[in-house]
Amino acid sequence: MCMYCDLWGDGMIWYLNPKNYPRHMYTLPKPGKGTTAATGEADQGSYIRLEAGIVAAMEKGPEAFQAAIKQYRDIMDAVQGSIGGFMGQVVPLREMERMVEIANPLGLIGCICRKAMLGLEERTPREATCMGMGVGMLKWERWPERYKGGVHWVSSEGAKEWLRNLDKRGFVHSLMMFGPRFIGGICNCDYPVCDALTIRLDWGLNMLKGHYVAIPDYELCNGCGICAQRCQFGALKMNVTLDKVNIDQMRCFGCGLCETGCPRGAISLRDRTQIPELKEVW
Amino acid sequence: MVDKSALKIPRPNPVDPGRLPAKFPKIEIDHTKCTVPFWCKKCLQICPQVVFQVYCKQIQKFKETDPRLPGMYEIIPVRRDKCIMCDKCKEVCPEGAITITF
Repeated sequence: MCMYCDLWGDGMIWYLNPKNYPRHMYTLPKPGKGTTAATGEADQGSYIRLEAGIVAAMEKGPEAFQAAIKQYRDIMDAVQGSIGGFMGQVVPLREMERMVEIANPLGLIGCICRKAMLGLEERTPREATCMGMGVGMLKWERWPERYKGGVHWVSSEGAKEWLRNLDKRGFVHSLMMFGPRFIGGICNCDYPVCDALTIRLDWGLNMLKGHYVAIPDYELCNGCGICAQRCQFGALKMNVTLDKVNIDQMRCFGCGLCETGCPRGAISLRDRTQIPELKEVW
Repeated sequence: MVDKSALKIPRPNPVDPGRLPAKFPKIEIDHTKCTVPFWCKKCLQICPQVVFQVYCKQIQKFKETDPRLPGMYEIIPVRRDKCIMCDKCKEVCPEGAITITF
């Protein structure tokens, strides 16, 4: 169980707990101070400056870098309701499919990272790589200046099909929290175009690892290498000597892309908490 | 309110402190020349290291910002730590707005 499960799981995996999706979570204020809900692209400029500040601190030295990382964590905790700078988690496809059954309404939107980093607008549902969940989407639909390109509403069946399609293309699925405990979105990331994933891999911020790790079955693996191409984390390499895949368990994020991509079903996901060395690696 | 003291918050640290302070290329963008970055977006898409990011500078209420109007968007070289100084952005920029120095 990760730290979110300890806080909000009620004995189950926290993102499968329906209590973390309802309407009131979106605007639930903290005692003493109000919570700012996500405002879409309006904040993008300040996030970008924060990142540029971390790079500038790296030029000054290790102390300045640590201070900049701490500042990022504190700002995200105050603005986004994250915990220690973490506001998302990698989730495999099969649990994403259960999440879209719980959350309502579902709206496909253009990805904010791909807009900022590549200038892509993703105006049609076919192109969209991001999903907003819950009542926040009703607000974003009303405010085109905050979120350009609009919102395309989908059913849970449509959302599953959309997710499977993106999984086929090789995107890492992750959830995003908007406000403390409110699960408000699904990201589909790849390195280095997704900012959230890039910051996680480069600086250790933003996203927790998933609840699983991938384990290969050498009896079934024929060394085709499809899984190694799909890994965004550099965890999968080909063991050339044996002509099998090798999975670095410490680097594995448990996204399940290798599992869904394997034509022979040779990779399975195992619970991270049942492996002693990995249960504290998030 | 979440009590963070009782939580085991992970602290992954992929950056080797021995590598710091590091020296990164300085990228200057002349914003008087680069006026419609979200309409052009040539440097965004050619950069192999995805150094640049664009954001909307002027948000108008209940209206989508037109990327063709000058001064609405701005490009910032965010991830200078990844820049390999291949100068592809400099070559592709139609306005000659980018200078890279080390």
